[in-house]
Amino acid sequence: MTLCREVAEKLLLYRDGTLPEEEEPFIREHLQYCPPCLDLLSSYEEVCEVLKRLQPVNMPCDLIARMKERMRRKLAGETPSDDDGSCDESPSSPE
Amino acid sequence: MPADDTNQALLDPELLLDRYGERIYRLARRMSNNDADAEDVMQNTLIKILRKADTYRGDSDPMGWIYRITMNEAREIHRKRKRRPAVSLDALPVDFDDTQHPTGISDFSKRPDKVAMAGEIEERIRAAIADLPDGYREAVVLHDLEGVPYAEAAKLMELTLGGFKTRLHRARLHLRQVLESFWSSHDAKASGRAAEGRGPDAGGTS
Repeated sequence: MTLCREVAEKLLLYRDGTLPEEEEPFIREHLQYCPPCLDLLSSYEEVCEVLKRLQPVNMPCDLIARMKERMRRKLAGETPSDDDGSCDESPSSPE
Repeated sequence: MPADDTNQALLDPELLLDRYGERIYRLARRMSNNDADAEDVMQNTLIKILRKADTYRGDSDPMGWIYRITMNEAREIHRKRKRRPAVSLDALPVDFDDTQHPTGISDFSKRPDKVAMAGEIEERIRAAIADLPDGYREAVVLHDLEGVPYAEAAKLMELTLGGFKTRLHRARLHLRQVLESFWSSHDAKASGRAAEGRGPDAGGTS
């Protein structure tokens, strides 16, 4: 008998269709008679949909220009001033 | 693009930003809590790339290498900014009752009000992604948000394919719990408002 915990652990593979062939029928059958696991699958799929729908990140229009200025200062050995939106922190040292 | 041209772009701040700036920012922003942190991650990534460009021996597409540096810099900023402990996903984030059935599960996928609440849901999910432990956040950002295929994302994170999928799965299950809790709290507030509306003063004149 397929246990709920096993189903919960394998939802990603089940959803992707990448479960080992011999396991898939047991998971599918379990989902037919176990409402909590079916709800888990539906809500898991909803999370995947929400992630897919997340709005793309919009880059501030002046960011590239500001970063170029920061890079010029950094490479010239200057510390960026507070008014350019940077934090005070120095970058981590090279590895 | 020839490798020489790529190396030139990695050595020149102007070319680097023109060619890869937007992709670095997008990844940095998705790994960060806010714009300021994303810009710090971006700045530190650019500096690291410029300093290490002459050691780059990869092929003509350096995005994998750039992604790795960006992820490391995002980890560094997270460590410095840590304001509260990240959730632990060492165990499967699903609760089971005494009969070993999942408990506290509701299917919120068919709620009619989910469209109206889309903005709040998005905000909650973005915050929850930023709060995930490093390796789990990276799995979600790389695969679910950036669309990097499993095998490539696993390679970037230096994980086996199975190890990568386990992290992604647990991260998604945690985000599922976040949405479960969002809807519970939403319904509790709605019930509270309805109860107030039915109170002794409801409909009365003041």
